[in-house]
Amino acid sequence: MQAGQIIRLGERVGPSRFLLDEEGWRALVECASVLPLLGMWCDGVEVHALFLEAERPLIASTVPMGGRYLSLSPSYEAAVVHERMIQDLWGAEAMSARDVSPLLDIGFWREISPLGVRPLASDGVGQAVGEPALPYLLDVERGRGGRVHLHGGYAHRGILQRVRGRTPEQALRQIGRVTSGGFVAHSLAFCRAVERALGLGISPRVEHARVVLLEVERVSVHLHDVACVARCVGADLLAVHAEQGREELAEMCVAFGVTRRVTDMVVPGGMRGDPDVVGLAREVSGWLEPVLARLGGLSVQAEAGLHRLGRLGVERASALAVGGVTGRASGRGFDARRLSPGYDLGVLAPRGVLGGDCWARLSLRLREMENAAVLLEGFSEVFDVAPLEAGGGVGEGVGFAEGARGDVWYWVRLREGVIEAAWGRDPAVALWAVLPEMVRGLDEAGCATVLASVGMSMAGMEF
Amino acid sequence: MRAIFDAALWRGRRERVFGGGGPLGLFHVPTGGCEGCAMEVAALRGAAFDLARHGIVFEESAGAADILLVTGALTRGMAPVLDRIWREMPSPKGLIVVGDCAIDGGPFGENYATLGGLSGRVEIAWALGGCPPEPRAILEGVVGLVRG
Repeated sequence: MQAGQIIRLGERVGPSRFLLDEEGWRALVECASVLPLLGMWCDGVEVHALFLEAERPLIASTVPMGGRYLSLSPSYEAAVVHERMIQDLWGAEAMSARDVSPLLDIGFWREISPLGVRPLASDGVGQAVGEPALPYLLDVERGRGGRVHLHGGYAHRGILQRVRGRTPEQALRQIGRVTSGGFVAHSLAFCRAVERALGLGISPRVEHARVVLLEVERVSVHLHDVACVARCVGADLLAVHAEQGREELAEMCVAFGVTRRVTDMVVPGGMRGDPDVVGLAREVSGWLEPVLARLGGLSVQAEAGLHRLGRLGVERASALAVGGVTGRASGRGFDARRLSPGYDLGVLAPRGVLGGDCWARLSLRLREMENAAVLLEGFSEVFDVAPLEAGGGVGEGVGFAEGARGDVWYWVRLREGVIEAAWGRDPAVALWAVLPEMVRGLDEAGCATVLASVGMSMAGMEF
Repeated sequence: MRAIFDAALWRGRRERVFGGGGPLGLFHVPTGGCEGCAMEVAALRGAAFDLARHGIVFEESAGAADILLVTGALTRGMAPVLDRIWREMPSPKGLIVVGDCAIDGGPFGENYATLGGLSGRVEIAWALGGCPPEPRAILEGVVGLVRG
């Protein structure tokens, strides 16, 4: 039996969500066929696992017995990071897990299991293993035999606790600031989840504005990441043009009624304000062409320093559901925009940049900005989609958006207009498992280049 | 937290730090938050703003810096790191904070994982709000400090 079939044997308790009993969950763990696992979380009562089945979300849930549930990690390496987070945040323990060490709670918190049913007070006098490297707030420990261990816990802000009991609009204050690599993407994925939960239909005009801003953000973040990578390898002229381009883009946004870094524009059911997204799309698409021509010409400066550096193969990218530029540059073609209406799928098709190294990622960012220019040119004319279907309106929903650094997902459950439980997934979380092998054997400078090339965000990873 | 910032040391030496003589060395520490302000600081360091012309340099080590520039809500895990970095800096030295989070936590006030912002906890030479603030505003503020 396939994993998807096993999940569907459970009781349907939400849109694309099925509750499995202990036996069903065990069958899922032991099933030979696996689905891409995007994430896991807990709501204090149940543990949930979000899978992709035929590129659609499918959620399996189970009720821990005595605070314990059977670990998915023996079959799903991607589960390791999530099970460690669940233990830190909710106190639910994964039995037979590959790794039970704390990930977020490194001893400084004032509460143990802060999202659990009964948090315990803590003195918060921690003792970190090492110290995080700046600016990533990530400690990369090089052990014996070249083994690399990552230590985090420095960037966690407790956002899931902060949004509980808030209205979706109130929660956007935090969700809209999860990570600067996805101001639009996080807000949009969250709002889509809320809209599904409430059964709110979205007009094509609103969807149009949202996808324009998502592409504008993609260009802005790609320019930032290109500049960071270029600086790492001394390709200063490439960095100069990328940095200047990003500032020009910010000014363009303001001229068309959008905030400089596209913050705070998306709200549940609509948009904030009335930005001229058609004008912005037209302006940015025209502006990008010469900018990208310059960047493309200058990118050869960086090639030698990036070739074969920080390589990630397609098997590992697929197994760990690594998304965004990093996944696609390794040959995992997933792009959540394919699941959204209004996109020209031909434009989104991968274009032969599959080396999986830092050079492939930089090259793909340039290609994706070319694609963004084409998409924005199209968005500056018509947005030919039917009114979007309203969600189920059963109080819980899943939403997603393809941000500049990958697919962002949210699950929310609302009760009486406020958030009872929520969870989100930034693409950075999938990098946790693969980064050690990507930076193995590298010195600090090489490691910093790899982190820049994947657009690593500990704010997104740990939020 | 009191150990992080030696207010007595800072008081009375402001003039020496900002008063002139060589470029002003900044050391940037992001202490949490969404990384948005850190991105703006990165933009400030980039080509679009000619820092050297304004007598400002970003140092690669805290030991070479005059000013500690903090962005982001202060997480509890980063507090001892910030403490260590401050101690590493030679005196006289000063602290500037950039962005709402670094000032008062912004959307990330005190909870189990964060201490919120630095305002009211330590002596701050200059603070710039915004979420995130523009790099040009950061530049103008720092230049104002350089010029006294």
